[in-house]
Amino acid sequence: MIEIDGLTKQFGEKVAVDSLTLNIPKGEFFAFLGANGAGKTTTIKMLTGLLKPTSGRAEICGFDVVREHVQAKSRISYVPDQPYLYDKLSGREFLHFVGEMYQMSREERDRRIQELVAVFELTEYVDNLCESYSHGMKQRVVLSAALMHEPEVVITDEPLVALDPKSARVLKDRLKAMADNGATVFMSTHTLAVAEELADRIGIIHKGKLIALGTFEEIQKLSETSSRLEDAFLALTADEGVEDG
Amino acid sequence: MGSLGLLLRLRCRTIANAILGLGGHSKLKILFIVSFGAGVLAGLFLIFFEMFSFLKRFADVQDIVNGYLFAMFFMSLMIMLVFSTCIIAFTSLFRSRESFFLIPCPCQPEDIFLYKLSESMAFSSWAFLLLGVPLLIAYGTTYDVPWYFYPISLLFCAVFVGIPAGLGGLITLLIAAYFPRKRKQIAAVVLVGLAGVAWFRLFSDVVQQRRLMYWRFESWVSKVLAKISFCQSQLLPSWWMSEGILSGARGEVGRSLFFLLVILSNALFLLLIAYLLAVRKYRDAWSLCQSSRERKYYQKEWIVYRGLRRLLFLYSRPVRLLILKDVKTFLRDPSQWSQVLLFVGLLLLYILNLRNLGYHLHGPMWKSIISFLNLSATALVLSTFTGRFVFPMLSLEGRKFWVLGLMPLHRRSLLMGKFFFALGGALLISETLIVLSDWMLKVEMQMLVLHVVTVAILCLGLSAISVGVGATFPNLREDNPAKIVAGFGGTLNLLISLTFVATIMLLMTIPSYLSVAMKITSMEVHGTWALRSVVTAIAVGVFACVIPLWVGLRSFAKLEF
Repeated sequence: MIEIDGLTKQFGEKVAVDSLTLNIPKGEFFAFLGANGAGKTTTIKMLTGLLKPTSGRAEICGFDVVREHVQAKSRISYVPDQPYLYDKLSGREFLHFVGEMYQMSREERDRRIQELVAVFELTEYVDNLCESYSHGMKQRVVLSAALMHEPEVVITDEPLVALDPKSARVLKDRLKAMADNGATVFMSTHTLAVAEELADRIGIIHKGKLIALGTFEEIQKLSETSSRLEDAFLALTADEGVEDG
Repeated sequence: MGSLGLLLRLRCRTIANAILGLGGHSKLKILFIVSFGAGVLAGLFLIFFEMFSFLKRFADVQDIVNGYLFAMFFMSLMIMLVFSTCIIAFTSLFRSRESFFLIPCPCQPEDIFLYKLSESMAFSSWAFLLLGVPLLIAYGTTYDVPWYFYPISLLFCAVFVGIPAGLGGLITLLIAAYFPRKRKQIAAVVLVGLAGVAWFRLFSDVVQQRRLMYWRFESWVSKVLAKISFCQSQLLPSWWMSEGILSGARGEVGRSLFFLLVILSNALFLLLIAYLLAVRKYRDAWSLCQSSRERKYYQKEWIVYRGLRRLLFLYSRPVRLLILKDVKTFLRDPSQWSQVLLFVGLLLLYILNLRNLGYHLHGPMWKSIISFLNLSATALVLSTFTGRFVFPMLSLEGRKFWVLGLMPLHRRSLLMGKFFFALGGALLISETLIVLSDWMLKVEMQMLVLHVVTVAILCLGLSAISVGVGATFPNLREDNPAKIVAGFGGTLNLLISLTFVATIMLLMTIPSYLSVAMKITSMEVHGTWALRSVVTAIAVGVFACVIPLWVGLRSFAKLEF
């Protein structure tokens, strides 16, 4: 589903992502971990077409993200850490807009919006303008929009930020269910407990390089720790201090 | 172009919702904005009407002068439109949060380009309509034109904006695709340079000698027209516009439609080139713009700011820090300083060419009129500076306000920091311009002092008004300065600033007028009147400085964020 081969991104002299090679099959829940500035967001931006790789290639469902970007993008959903909504649209109008962008028919959109409004408990305010929403409410609408067209690949960057415990639970269950039904979930997060709880496999990126890849148990073995993922993560990235950015 | 329709429908929906949402706003506020808009349009109409009525008296040359007038008017607007489209399109295409949202969507990047470009075109063209509509109505009313002149003129305006939009889009995309590292700086320098060259040619002797024409009209008019005769070049879209509209006014429908189609086809051609370039380059340019190298500022520029810090020794430490922060923020954003540079640069070029025009050789009355007009132009540039940059400063702190709010200093210091920053910038720009203008015109020392005092009063008042109104009506949710300025507070600020400028200019005309009158009539009886008007102007200036700041300080002290 996601095939990454030698993906590299340089900003001037700085190598943000260094020859990343990774295959994530259909139906896998993949957690992408790393300190601030390690290269997680840059990788996600390349996968979603926001940045062009300096070298290497990436494919989503067999479509090259640079050459066949429209086909690749029509198969993914991207949930950024900072939700963006149109202030002067209502939540429902925004969901219709996203559905139409993904070529969904009116009936399909109505059905799906009804489902998502119920799942994320948006009924009360889905017809208000988005400018009146709190950060958490916006995040829930953005998540609904991301799930509108039932994507084959879901890419999320810190999706649990600002969600209340109940919405976070709903989202985690929803993503896990999607992976169980055959979708690929690529989640970048700092919340190690969530990665430990949900991920089939975990990748740890450090200073642009993928330094660990495997199941939770394999990561534990690699880091020579036997307790939580937090200890394994700290052991693997302990060589130098944490960078900002 | 599959998604373009969807994106445009989305924009229509957001506009419709925004209009529907006006019902929730204060009726008084809406009434105020509508009345103010109508007042501005009516005022412009009256000015243009008077101008055309005056020209109508000269039956022999009115057609020629009107032709020049229209061509020059549309050429100036076209240059301004290209410039503003570039500035807005840069942010809109490469920096806006909406583009971050749309790029990962499954739509063609060139559709996003066209959508954002049309948005930039709409944003940059409203001033074109604001100036163009009263001009055309005034012309139609004065010259008794056929009824279809009005719809044809509107069509011309609608089609014409496509040319600067296409050009602006092309320039923006080329710079972003090929010079991504310094795109804003290059765009600013190129555009300011182009505008400067265009303006310079207006006064160049080459043009004067090559195209000098004489007729029976007064010689100074013929000289002025000779200097601007390049605007009559048949290759310029502004000339097509002028010819098309004037042909419509004369009832020559076929000729008018011909020019309309010429403009339409050129606009579409430019937009097509921009679109084709976007097909190949927009995604790459977008990626390049996000991949800029990180720049280390502190070590490179600390000497400049250390100098400024010493220069500001009179201010308290917190105020000094706040001024430095605002100076750095302003200088590191080319989309901000380039606009100031454009206005000031054009005025400076004009002033530096005053002697080429021979104005310094005229008699005292003409010198007085010209220097007064220069003072008025400087005052208007100043009010643009304070309205466009100073007024939104507090609002732009927006979500970062807590940083300032938590600092161990009084809110008064925050506001005074903004005020002193504005005052320093305003004084530096306007006093330089006016001293240079008077020096080029060789006006007397007495008049120069009077102008320097006038500018100081204007700087004090306009800075205080913009800071005070900005603190009273802040918009902390918006991060686009253009949108902050276009709101209620911005409109109120503009109205108060223009009233203040008009009052001061009227008061300060009296001493200038009397000074010239004394020379011509050899009378010495008007001295007390001159003194009275200067004292009144100073009193108005102090009032305009103290009251808005006081109101702003009170409102700001109560503000919760």
